[in-house]
Amino acid sequence: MVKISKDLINSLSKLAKINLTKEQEEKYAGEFASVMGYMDEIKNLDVEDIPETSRVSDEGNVLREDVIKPSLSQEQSLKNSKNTSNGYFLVPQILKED
Amino acid sequence: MLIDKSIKELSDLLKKKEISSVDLVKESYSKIEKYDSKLHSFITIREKNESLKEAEKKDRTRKEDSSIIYGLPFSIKDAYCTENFRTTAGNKILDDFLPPYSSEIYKKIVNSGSILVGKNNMDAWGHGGSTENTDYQPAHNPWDVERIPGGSSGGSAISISTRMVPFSIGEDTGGSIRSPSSACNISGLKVTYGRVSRLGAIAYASSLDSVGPMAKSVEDLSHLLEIMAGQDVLDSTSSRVKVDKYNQFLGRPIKGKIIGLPKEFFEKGLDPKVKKVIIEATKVFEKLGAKIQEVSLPHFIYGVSIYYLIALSETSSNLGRYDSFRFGGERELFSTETKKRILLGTYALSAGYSDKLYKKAQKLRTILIQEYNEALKTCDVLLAPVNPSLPSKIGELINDPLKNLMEDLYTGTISLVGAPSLSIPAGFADGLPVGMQIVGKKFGEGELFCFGYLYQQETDWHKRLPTILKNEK
Repeated sequence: MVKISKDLINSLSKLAKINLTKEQEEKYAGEFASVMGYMDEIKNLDVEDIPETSRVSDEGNVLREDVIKPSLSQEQSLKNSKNTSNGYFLVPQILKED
Repeated sequence: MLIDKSIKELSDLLKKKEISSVDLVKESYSKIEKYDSKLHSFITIREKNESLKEAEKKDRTRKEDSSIIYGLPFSIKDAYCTENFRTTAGNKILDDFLPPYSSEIYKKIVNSGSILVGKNNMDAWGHGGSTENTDYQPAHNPWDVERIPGGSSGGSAISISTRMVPFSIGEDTGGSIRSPSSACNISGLKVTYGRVSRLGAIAYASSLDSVGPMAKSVEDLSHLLEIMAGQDVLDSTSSRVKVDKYNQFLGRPIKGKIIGLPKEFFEKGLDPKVKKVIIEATKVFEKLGAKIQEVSLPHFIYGVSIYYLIALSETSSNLGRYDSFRFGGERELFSTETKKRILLGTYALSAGYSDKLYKKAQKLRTILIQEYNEALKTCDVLLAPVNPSLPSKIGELINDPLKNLMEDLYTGTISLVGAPSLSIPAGFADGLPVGMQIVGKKFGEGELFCFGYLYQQETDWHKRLPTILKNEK
């Protein structure tokens, strides 16, 4: 049985920028243990010299001329944001002044 | 009931002016008004008068050489961007999202003259196989309203099964077209990865996502794929392989062809009632002259682990962009299931684990592809169940995390190799539909249609109407 601590769940939630409720922490610790326990089945499979597959498309690199074409206007690009200013997306301050 | 007719029949009747697009759109809305409040097939229904006005215009502008889908109503999974028309992906984060542009697939269908009636319900972001993990209302199976319709494209499957629309556009990452097609007794196609443009499709797992048609029959799917397929310069994973004339495959004999049954797909985990239906289906193919042969895909028993490690890693990355600054609500609005998937993906990619989990899964994916290629050297297609069990009661899967994952055993594994897979009705068990999938070589959709079409000439499973419609004709 894989053991999943609440600390691990908390550090994952920080990495993924998702706040969890106390109930979710409990629930996920339990569910992760059962899912990761199941996935443990691949632990002993030998894949030493096998290359990784990251895509199944056979296209390789697809190139085209870099030609400027009409695209979204500033107004269209900003219209789904809840917080804009002078044609910019407004985001919370992350650097603090000393 | 006009919408019970095939796409070809409807197109012929429209061109002969025996029926009109207005008739079809009216029938579509009358079905939606009658059944959608019970089944929750749609998240957003288009204003009826808008659709009717468009239908009137189609009736005036139809020509002899108009597309076969010109003037037909259709629905589309809410995973596809539709310009200035609400697109939620089943999630409250996008509750008021009005896309600034349309997905390529939506444009292709609309440019061929079809009329949108609404956006279908789905598991949020495609995360699920039951259409319960939607932030709107959980969807119900028209064959038994206490059961799930499969998912994540459950809303699309319901709208076809109940004849609200003649066809719908679904999305399949690890079974999301095939599973609801099986559960709702309709025909659905997961295309070869890259066959149809993904531009404007809200991503679940980018190396697996595929855009496919859902309809009443294989014949209808063949017409739709011809319209949908092809390279898109704005989707670099879309393929340059030539698009076949798919309906030319219909009616071709399969005498002497070999169907492989992957033995790992018929072992533990498969409900004996489902197995019985699939075995019966193989006898129909034998009658048509095909040979049945057992094949082995030894690593496919690890398919669920490999599939989830890859899909969840990719989704944790894809969903990082929903930060509420550019669009969407706060990340707190992700559902419990989606948060879980993001965290699992984050775990599989995190320092110290990515070699053991994500990268190992990618290596195992290579082995699956090799085994699949070997198997397809000895046979023309593979045949397998779609779902390991009958559609479960609402609430059963969402509360059982492992069982929820195991539902994707036969479909997610096929997605990993990028192969096409056709899901068609194969019979019934306990009054509930059972689907089979016919899996082929990459870009071999035509061959799948050939097998599926002949099967549907010999059987009438796909013509049977769900219990909820039994008083209609």
